[in-house]
Amino acid sequence: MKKLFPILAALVLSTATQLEAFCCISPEVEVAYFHPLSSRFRDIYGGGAIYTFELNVQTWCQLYTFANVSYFNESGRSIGEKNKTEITLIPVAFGLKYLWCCDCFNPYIAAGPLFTHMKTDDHSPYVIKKNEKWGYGATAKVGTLYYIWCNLFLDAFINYSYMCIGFDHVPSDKPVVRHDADLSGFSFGGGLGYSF
Amino acid sequence: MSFTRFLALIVLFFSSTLRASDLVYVPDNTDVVVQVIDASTNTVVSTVTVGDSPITVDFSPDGRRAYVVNNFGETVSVVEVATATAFATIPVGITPNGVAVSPDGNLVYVANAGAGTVSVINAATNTVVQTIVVGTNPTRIALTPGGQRAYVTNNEENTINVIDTSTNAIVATVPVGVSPNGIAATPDGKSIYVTNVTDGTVSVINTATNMVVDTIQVGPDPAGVAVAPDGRSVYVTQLGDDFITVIDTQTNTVTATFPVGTNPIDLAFSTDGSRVYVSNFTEGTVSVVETAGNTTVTLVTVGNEPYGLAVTPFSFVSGEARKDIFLTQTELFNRIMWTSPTVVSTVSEYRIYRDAQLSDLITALPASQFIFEEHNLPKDTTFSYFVTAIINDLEVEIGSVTLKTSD
Repeated sequence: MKKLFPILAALVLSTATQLEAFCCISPEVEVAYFHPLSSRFRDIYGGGAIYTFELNVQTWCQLYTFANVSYFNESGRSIGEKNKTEITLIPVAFGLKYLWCCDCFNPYIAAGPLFTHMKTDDHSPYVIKKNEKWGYGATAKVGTLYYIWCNLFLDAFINYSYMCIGFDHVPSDKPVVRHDADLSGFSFGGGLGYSF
Repeated sequence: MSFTRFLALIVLFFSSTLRASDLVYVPDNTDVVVQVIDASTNTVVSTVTVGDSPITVDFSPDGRRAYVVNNFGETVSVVEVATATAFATIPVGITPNGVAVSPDGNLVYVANAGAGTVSVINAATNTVVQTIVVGTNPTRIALTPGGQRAYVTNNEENTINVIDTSTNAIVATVPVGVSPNGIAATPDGKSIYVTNVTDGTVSVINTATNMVVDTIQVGPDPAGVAVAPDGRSVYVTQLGDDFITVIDTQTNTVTATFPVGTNPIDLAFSTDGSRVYVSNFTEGTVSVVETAGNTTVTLVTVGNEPYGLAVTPFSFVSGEARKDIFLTQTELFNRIMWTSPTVVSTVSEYRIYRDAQLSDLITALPASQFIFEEHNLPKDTTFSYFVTAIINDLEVEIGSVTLKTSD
């Protein structure tokens, strides 16, 4: 968490600087279906909707800087005893996006580092009830923008995120076997944005 | 309290901890009852009223139910072993004879000798769900250990019908000796042994090819057959000379013969294979034979005409190493389950120990509880559990189980 604040501060500062320089900014809201790659994740929680707010700032010609924050929450059942469990993920990502302008469709690719705050609530008297930790990974995205009216655009994308949070060495008062949480997965979805 | 029950308790009194043994169900063919022998004392501890002329019996895999075939009654009585009472009667075909319960306990197969059919009973509903036409005078039936095939002896046709239990269709007919009667499968499911009463032989069928691969000459009128739990030997009752013949399954040769009571018609092994119980048809007794030396240790008087007997453990103890998997953690635990000791109904408490000497007590549980869980265990560790029941202030071991945790 301590590492994250300077990075986020730098990101905000950089975006603000770019806003002043180019004044081309595109806020966007996205909804996607998150498909986790870990079979354990899928067996416990399945997939689900992930909601994202993203800000894109033109950096140089077709190159943009993006920053986004997402929210994912799902309930599930443990494998075996089917005890209730809940997970909340707040991924924060930033990076570079390259946009091609071709008529009304503007395909793009994007990539950057990813920071995720994970929190689980496991309902069993024999396990650690709350687990909470930050982790970091990477994200890559391909998609296309479609301008529907003036500067209003639709976004269709596929996003891959790599994220693994280590719990192997986390001490606990309950004698359980700890393992890493693999949060990697694909997101398929769309968004609605506006270019200023 | 019956005298036999009193005797059993006297025996219990002289040891602070006893190991529970088997129950032997013996149908009395000229009556309407099944005699129940407690193998720890070799005494009849209860009598179960069933239908007319009970002839054979088999148990569900969990030992909770016994299916008794009533030959003249043309029914199957379903007995709750814990209370020794018949609670359902299922009409089947004409003069039913042999019975076999599937390994999963879901189906019961009954050979109807007079009808030339096999009735398939759904054990959940206790109704006949299908009737399969087989050969003439089907007497006995045996299932392979996995339950995929049923083998039926057609006594007047000198053949064995092989039934695919997934479709209930006959997939092969195997010619054997004259008047096949008894039938038993080896624990590995590779061989079937069939007694041919009239020509005094035992046919060995290879289940892979469904062909007779060996014919073993035994004594006169071989009737019942049973395979030892370890699969190494087969015991055959000879009605004609009151002997038992022992066959080595590796060589298919006769390795021993020894006398029992008059007209031995059927037999069954104890669950550990250390004893074999032989029903002596016209003598009204059951011979209890130690298999180590093939010597009769006692004769138990059981009504008029004991017939196709079967053995079930006194009580079952089972367990499983389980895990509860969350995204970031897995909890390992062991679950131990047991059934009530079936005849004695005065259990006051169950105790779980960690060692065979019963010195490391884990917990004591009320008589109404039949499950115990030990949680938050380390991985890759082996645990043993020994379960005892307190019966009239005496502690009886009813079983043990060893489990290994893994993530």
